[in-house]
Amino acid sequence: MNLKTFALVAATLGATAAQAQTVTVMGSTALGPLMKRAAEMYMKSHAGVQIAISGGGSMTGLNQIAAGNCTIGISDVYATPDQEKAGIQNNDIVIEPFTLVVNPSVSVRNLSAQQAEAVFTGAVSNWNQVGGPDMKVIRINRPESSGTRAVQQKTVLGGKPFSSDQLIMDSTGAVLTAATTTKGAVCFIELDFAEKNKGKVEAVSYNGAFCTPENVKAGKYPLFSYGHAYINPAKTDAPTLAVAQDFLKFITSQTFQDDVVPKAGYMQVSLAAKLKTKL
Amino acid sequence: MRTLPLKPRRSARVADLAMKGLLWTVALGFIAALLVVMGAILKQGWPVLNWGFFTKMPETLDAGGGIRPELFNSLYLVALSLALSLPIGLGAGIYMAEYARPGRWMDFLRLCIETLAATPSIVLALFGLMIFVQALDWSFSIRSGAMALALLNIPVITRVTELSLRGVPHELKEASYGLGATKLQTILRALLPSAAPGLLTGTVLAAGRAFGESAVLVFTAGTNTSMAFPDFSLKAPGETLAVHLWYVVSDGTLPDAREIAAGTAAVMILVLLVMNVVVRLVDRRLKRHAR
Amino acid sequence: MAMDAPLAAPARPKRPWTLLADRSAGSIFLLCTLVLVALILGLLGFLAWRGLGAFIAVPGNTGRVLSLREVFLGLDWSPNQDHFGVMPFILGSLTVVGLSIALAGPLGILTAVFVTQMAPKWMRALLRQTMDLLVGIPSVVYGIFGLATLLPFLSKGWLSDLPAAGFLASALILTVMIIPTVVSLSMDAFEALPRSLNEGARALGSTSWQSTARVLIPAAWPRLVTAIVLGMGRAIGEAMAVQMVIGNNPQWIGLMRDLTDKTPILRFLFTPASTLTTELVQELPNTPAHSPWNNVLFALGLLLYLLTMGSILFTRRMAGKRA
Repeated sequence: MNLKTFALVAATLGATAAQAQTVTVMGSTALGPLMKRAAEMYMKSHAGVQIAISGGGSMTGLNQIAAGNCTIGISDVYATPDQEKAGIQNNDIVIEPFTLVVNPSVSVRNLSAQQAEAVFTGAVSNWNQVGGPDMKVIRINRPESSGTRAVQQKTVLGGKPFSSDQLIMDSTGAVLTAATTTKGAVCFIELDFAEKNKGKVEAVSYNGAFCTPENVKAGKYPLFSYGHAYINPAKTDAPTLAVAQDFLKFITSQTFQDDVVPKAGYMQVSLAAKLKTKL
Repeated sequence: MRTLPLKPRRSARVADLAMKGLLWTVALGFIAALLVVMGAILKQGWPVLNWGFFTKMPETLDAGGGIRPELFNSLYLVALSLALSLPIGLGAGIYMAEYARPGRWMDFLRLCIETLAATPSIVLALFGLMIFVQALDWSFSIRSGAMALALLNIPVITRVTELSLRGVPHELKEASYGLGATKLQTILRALLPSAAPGLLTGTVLAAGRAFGESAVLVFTAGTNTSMAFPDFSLKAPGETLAVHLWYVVSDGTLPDAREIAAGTAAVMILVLLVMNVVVRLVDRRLKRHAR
Repeated sequence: MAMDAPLAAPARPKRPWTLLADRSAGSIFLLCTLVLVALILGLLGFLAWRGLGAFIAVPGNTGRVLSLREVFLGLDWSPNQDHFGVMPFILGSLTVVGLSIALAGPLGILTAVFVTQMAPKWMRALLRQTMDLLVGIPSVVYGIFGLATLLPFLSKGWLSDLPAAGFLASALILTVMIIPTVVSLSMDAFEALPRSLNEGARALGSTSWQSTARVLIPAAWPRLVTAIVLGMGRAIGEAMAVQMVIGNNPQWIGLMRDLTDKTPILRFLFTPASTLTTELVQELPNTPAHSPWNNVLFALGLLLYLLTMGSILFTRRMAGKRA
C-alpha cells in the first residue's frame, strides 16, 4: 500500500505540468457561487484557460490580492486604505441588495430610517414602541467581520454601534433560521433569501420602500452593497492579467449581467450607476 | 467469592451494591451515548444516500448536489498526507526506540513529540494558512492541505512506531545480532516486520484522524472543489467531506444544506466503521502470521 | 523466520555499502526526529512573531499598538469600535472546559473503575470497542449531531422553542468527545497499581467499593489528575464541534447582563457565546492582514499553544513525581 501511494504521488507530480493559463480567484464566499458559474461559462468558450476559485472570506481575498498571491480578489467590502496602497484596482461586478425582515409574529411592515436605527442601536427594545405588538425585540446579526454588517452599520445606524443585546449567527443561512424560529426577531438578510423564504419571514420596507430592482434603480432604496473584484496589475504577469481583465469584462457584460446575475440573487451592477454615495 | 476474614458492616455492603449499580449504569450510559450519536446520524443521513449523491458534483445555489469530488479529495488528501508523514514518522519513531539513549536529550525529544501531538488543530491551521497558503503562495489547494495534514499525522505515527518497536521481544533483536546483522538490517528485517500489526493499526488510526479532520483543512485545502473530475492536480482546491459538511451547514445558502450535511455525516460514519472492521481483520491475520 | 538458524552462524563479511548504510542510518533517523523539533520551535516562533505583533510595533503592521492590559483584561470585543478585549473568549473557553470536565472527569474515572475492577470480560471488550468508535467520530459529525439532534431536543425540553445554542450544548458534546481520553488514561492509572493493594484492602474486610474509594483512587490520584488534565487539553483545543453549537457571540457577557428575564443559571447555560477556538474559526479569514484585529487573533493562537505546552509540562511533572 505504501509503495502504491508513492507511485500515485509521483505520477500526479509528473502530470501537473500544465501549460494552461491559470487565473486564481480568492475571497468572498457569498460571491463564490456566482464566480463559479461565470468561470464554467468562460472556460467553455476559452480553451486553455483555467479559472480556480477558492473562498476564504472577503478579507482573505483582499489580503491575498494586495500581496499579489492571487489574480482576482473578490470581496463584499471595499479594500482598506492600507490594502489600496498596494495598487489594487476595484471593479464592481454586482449589486448585493439586502432587506429588513421580521418573524411573522411581528406585525410591523415598515420602519422609518429613525425607527430602524433605534431598533438596532437598542433605543427601542419592545415592538410596541414602533407600533407593533407588546413583544421584546430580538436582534439577529452577523459577526463583526461580516462585510454586510459593516454596510448596515454605515447606512442604517449612521456608524453608531449595534446594541450588544443581539444574537450573532455566523452565516446568512443561520441568521435566517434564527429569524424564522424566534418570536420578535428582526434582521437584515440578502434579498434572495427573503424571497425564497416568504411566509417564514416577513419583509419590512425601509423608509416606505421595499427592496426591489425598481426602487434601487430609482435611488429610493439604499440598503445594498457592491460585489467587488480587485486585480493587482503591478504584481500580475501580463498574459494572466489580460485573461483576468477579459474574464471580468465577461462578468460585467450585458448577457451575463442579465441572464445569470439575477438568478444568483444579485442585481445588475448597472442599476445603481447613478448612485453617488460610496458605502 | 472466597470467605473474607473480616465481614464488612451491613451499611457498607448496601453502599457497595448501590455503587455497583451506579457503575453499571455509567458504563451502559457510555455505550448508549455512542448508539444515540451514531443512530441519529445514520437515521438522518440514510434517506439522502443514493447513487446520485455519490456521483454528482456539489451544487452551489440549488438543491440536489452530490459529494463526488469531496469523496475523492478526502481519500486523495489522506493518501498524500500519509505519503508525506510516514517516512518522517517512521524515522523519528525508530530513532526514539532504537537510537536515543535515556536522558535529557530523549526527554526533550519526547516533550516535543507529545506537545506536537497535543497541539490543537486550529493552531496548526493558523500555521498552515500563513506558511503554505500565503507565504509559499500555494493558495487553498491540495498541496497546502496535504502538508498541513502531514503535520497532524507525524507525531501520531512517531509515537505508534516507537511503541510498536518497544513491544518487540528482546530475543528477536539478540538473535538477529547473533546472526551478524548490522543494526540497520536488524531494524529493517527483524524489528519492523515483527512490529507490523502495531504499525498498521497506528497508520489506520492516523488515516482515520486525517479523514475526519476539518479545522486544519478549512484554512489550507479550502472550501471549494475543482471543476474537473478526477483532478489529481496538487494545485486544485481540495474541499473534503468533513469540510463540506461544516461548510454547507455554516454557510447555509443551499436549500437542502441540512440534508447534504446529514448524508455526508452518514458517509463518514460508514467509512469509519468499515476502516474499524478492516483493521481488526488485518490485525488478526497479521498476528496469526507472525506466530 | 531467521530465528531458527543456529546462533553460532559465522559472521559473514559485510559488503561496504551495508556498513555505509548502517552508519548513515542513525543520522537519517535523527534528522527525522529533528524535523519534529523544528516544527515545534517553528510553531512557537511563528505564533510569537505574529501574536506579539499586536503589542509591539512591527514593520508592516497597520493600526495602533495595543496594550497587554486592554487585550487580556478587556471584556468588550468589538474590533470595529477599536475594542479588543479577549476576556469573553478566555472565560468562554474556561466555562465550556469546566462544565465538560465536571461531567467527563467523574464519569470517566468511574467507568475506568468499572472496567478494571468488576466488569465481566465481554463488557470490557464492548467498552473498549465503544471508546475506539467514540474517538474515531470526527468533530464535524459531533457538530452536526449537536445541531440537528441535541439543540432541538434542548430547545423543546427547556426553552419553549427558543434557540438553545450555548454553553450547555457545547459542554455536552465535548463531554462525549473527551470521555474516551479520560477513561483510557484512568484505566492505565488503575492497571499500574500493584495487585496487592486491592487484595490487601479486601482481606481487611473492605467491600470492593470501600477498597476503590479509600485505597485505589487515592493511590492512583496523580495519574488520574493527568488523565483529567489531558482531557481538558483536548476540550480546550476542540474547534469545529463547539463552533457549530455554541452560537458564536463574542458579546455574550453584555448579553447576559442585559437579559435577566430568566433564572440566571438557565440564562447562563443557554447564552450563545464564543471561545478561543471558535473565534479563530469564525473571524480569522475575515480580518485585514497585520491589522490589530488580525494580530490579536494570532495572540489567541499563541495562548492556545502555550496552554497546550503548559498542560504537557504539567503532566510530565506529575509523572516525574511518581518516579
